[in-house]
Amino acid sequence: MLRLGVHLSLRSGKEALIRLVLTAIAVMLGVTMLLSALASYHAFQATNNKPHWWFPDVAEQGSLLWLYRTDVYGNQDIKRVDIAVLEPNAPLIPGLDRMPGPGEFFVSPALSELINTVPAEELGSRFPGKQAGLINDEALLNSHELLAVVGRSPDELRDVPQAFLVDNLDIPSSPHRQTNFFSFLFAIGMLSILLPILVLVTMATRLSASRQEERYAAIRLAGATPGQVNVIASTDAFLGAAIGTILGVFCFLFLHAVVTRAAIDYLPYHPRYITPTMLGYLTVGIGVPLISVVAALLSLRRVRISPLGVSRKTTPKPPNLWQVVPLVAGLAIFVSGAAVENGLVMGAGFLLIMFGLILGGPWITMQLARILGNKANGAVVLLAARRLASNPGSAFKPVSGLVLAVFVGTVFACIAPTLLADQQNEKVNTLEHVLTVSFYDQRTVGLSADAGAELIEQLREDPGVEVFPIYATPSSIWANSREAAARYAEEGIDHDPTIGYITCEDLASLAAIGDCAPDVQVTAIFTSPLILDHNISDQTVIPGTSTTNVELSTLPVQALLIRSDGASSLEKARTLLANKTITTDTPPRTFGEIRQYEQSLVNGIQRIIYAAIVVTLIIAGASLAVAIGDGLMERKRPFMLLRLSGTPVSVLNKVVLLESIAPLFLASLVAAVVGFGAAATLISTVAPDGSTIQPPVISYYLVMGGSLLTALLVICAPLPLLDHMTKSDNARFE
Amino acid sequence: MLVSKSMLRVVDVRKSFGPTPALRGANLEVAEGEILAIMGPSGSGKSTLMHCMAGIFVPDSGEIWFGGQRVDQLDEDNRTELRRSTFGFVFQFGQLVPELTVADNIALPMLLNKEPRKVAYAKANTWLDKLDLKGLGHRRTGELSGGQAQRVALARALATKPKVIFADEPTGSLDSLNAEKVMDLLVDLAREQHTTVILVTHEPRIAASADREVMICDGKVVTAQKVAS
Amino acid sequence: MQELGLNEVCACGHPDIYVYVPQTAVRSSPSVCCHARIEPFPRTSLTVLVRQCTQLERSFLTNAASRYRITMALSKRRVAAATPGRVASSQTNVREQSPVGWLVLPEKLAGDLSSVLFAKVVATLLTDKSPHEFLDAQRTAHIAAMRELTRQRREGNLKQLLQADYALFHLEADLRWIDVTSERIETLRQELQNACE
Repeated sequence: MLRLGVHLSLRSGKEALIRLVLTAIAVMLGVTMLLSALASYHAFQATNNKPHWWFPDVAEQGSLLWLYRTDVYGNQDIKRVDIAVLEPNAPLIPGLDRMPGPGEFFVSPALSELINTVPAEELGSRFPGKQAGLINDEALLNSHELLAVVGRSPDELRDVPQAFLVDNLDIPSSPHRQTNFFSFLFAIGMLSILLPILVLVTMATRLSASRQEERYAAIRLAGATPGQVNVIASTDAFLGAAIGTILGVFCFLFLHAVVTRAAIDYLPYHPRYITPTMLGYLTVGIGVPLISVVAALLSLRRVRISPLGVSRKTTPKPPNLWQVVPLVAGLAIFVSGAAVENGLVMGAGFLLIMFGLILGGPWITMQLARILGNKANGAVVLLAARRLASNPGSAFKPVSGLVLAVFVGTVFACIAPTLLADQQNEKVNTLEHVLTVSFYDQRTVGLSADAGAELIEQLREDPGVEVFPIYATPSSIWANSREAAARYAEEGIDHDPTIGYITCEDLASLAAIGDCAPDVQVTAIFTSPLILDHNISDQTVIPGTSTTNVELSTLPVQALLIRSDGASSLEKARTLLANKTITTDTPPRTFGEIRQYEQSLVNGIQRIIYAAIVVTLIIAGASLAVAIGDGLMERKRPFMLLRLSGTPVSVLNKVVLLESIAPLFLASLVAAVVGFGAAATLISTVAPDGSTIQPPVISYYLVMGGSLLTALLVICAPLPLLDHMTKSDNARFE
Repeated sequence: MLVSKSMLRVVDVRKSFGPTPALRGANLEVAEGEILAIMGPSGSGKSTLMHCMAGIFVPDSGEIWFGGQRVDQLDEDNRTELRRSTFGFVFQFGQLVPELTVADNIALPMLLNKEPRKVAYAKANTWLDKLDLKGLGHRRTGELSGGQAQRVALARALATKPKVIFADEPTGSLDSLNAEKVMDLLVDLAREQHTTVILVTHEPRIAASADREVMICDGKVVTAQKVAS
Repeated sequence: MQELGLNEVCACGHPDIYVYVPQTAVRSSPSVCCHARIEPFPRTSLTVLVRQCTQLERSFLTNAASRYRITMALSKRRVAAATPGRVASSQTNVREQSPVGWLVLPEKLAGDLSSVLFAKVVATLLTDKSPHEFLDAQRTAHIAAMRELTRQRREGNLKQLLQADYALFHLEADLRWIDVTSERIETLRQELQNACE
């Protein structure tokens, strides 16, 4: 029976072969994407689950002195650990076979290359001693991470207040709330790509099965039992799916090799983690053909019950109005949630909208198609509209996943500029090249006056660097009551960490921060928002502080603003800072770099969403192509006879194209519009007052346009099939 | 012999599909307004002859004249245009688009000829009465019975007021009563509009509705009596 | 059996000729032609419709083979030549009087024609001609009749309609038989050849 099934599948003529090929291609696409998704997810999880050894616990007694800081070079972070080994059995950093001794340092391969290419005073001099070796992958998150482990003598580190004792470096990653959230988002993303893939695979196999209905009915009439027909049908579906799966695995492996080789510098994960793992391969390798077989068997219900059940094709039930209710309800809930500013209600409404878009899509399609059909002025539109109106479900199914992706993508694309817009006020632009570094931490209020002066002088040696010091202010000045003064004295706070002095001359140079009152030499400013949050407002400068009798040179240096005229000077300044000071709290970054960093986060999410849009659009295109093939086979005779009666094949092509393009574009448009509305609502409620919704970034249009175009191309692929199938030469009537 | 505008002439036409010759030198003349039946056993080439006459196939050799014009020398687009504007077709089954309504199907050729929607549907509705399809204008053709569907097909063929109607076994899948009905309608309406009808059939009773018949045997027209006046 | 005079032709206009018809056909329609007699023909499944002719009477009934040969000779050289005095018969106006001519002309449509049709077919075969010409002509005649009946049907009242339908169906049945038989010509020819060997 199996052999019969295989024989039937392979020898049933051209049409059967085409079916087989179509199924295999569809399944191949689906399997490739599935494996890629699984591989990405696994990489993400594996990287997250690595021990975060660079944040060890403080120990009462330890064999290792530990000082971790984040340094900056260009737009990359450098993880830097200064260690001093106190006892011979000190723990090792995973991935190192020994800890560097004093005067040595280990670096990651990327950092090593950077050090070698860049002048020493910009980078290399930050690491005292000689480079003693490379850190291997185990300690790194990805292949382009910059990491340095610097060996120090115990004396060097003991006096540093920020260094602490460590006795254990085997720290499992604590489930960071952020990574959990990302994990959750990832899973949702994977699911939303998975669903369209599943739809595609089942569509492709049902394509084969439903075409074969008549054949199976004939076999049944000839005496085969339902069980035997099941075997034959399963074989047919299985063959296509199996071939497609194998091809898909090869395709994925090829893609994997190409991507990891070409983009290795940009991958956030190690290539070796980017694999679906044996479990993934097995699941896909067994699951996909299994699903195909099940789908084929399900669609054979009619034949199994009665071999004569396939004779009259009844039109499927049209979607009813109730299917639109979730969408409407979701919109209502979302808007009302926005009105009362309840995030939970809005979230529920949002989810309901997503669900409603998929459920209500067919009904909306049907109504629009009906209207279009009754107003159609040409044969092409009439044919396409009537077809869509009579089969709205099967017209909408291929694009259902797409609708979701476009909706979510549009929402985010509309929110993103608003998120980023805050960063882009004018004032920050002028401070783009201004580096901020703070010397305040729990224990000290800043560099001592002498140390500060020395540092400033050294910095000023480079002509390309301007230094604007901010001095700590004695807290006694700000105590506006004796109680406050007493409290300050009691807590031993000599200086107010949140306020600092800056000369009016310097302030004038940094015009964006604010203006001095006239005839004032020195003024006070709020330093925390400026230095720590990189936030400038009208209230940064504290007015009414006449400080003419302040001797700045006696005050500790709380922070520095350093403006450089180029990358080289910037890095030299940072090198000086790295060598002379410990800046643990805030890595020394310019305003511009901070903005870029925050932007890159938003951009990262955006990129993922765009990837989802591209993938789902292409899958939608493939599903639509499969649906076209299915529809062609169903309407082969009427089309062929239409052609004989004088309908040009271009008309038929246009009809078939329109039937696919219309749902594709319409669904995208509706999803985009609803997404835009949702984003507008979100912004008007959640975002700070005064921010208006901006049009989406250019990249959104590019991604949407490009994906739609690609989907269009995919849809056009089966058109030559139309011409061939309806050719008059094939119309043998005898 | 009068050369009238819609006269169809087939001169020594040969056509093969691969190694199988379907027509081996067929000759035929059809007068304007005539109803001609082409009979023959299956495999004799009668459908092929009809297709060549209608400009669906280009014969391997020979000439096909329609109203003074060489049909076989036209290119694909022109032949398609000819079929669309001047000819009407009725096939045995399967020519109606199932998701279109009856009115849609009848109006379709007119819409393809770029007639405005209102005009096309108005014309289509007049044909509903003539073919005993009253009240069925909004039904989907996929839900009609065989006889009703063939009448719709007939209406579609007649709606554009073609000069020639080619009917290939139009009643082949109908029972006797429906077949009779369809043939009567075809003949009456064709005569009314002075349309030439080329009817391909193997059933004598259907061929009896025609003015004359020719036989095709082995790719040649066996009986080609001169035009009865 | 009535005997013909020398210059007489049978009332149904058939010249003297021997033809074969299947036993069963003859049984169902006893009088295909006037003055006929049925006999089985030896060594075949066929029977002979014997039409007596004064000239050709006696010796034929005895010797089947010679009867056959004479039949052949007759048909090949035309009865008129073989039977002196019958030259005039070629000018008889009912139809062309040569057996060959008779063979190819269609029959008038009256009652049951199967035996006659079959007779003609066999005779044609015997004369080494193709019966297709006759069959085509018969077919044309049938269709012409059907055409006429169709016209009557559409123009007449219900009674005429029913009668015409009846006739049409029967004619169609005849035509089907003609079609089927024309498929079987080769088999028939083979069997005849075997019989005459």
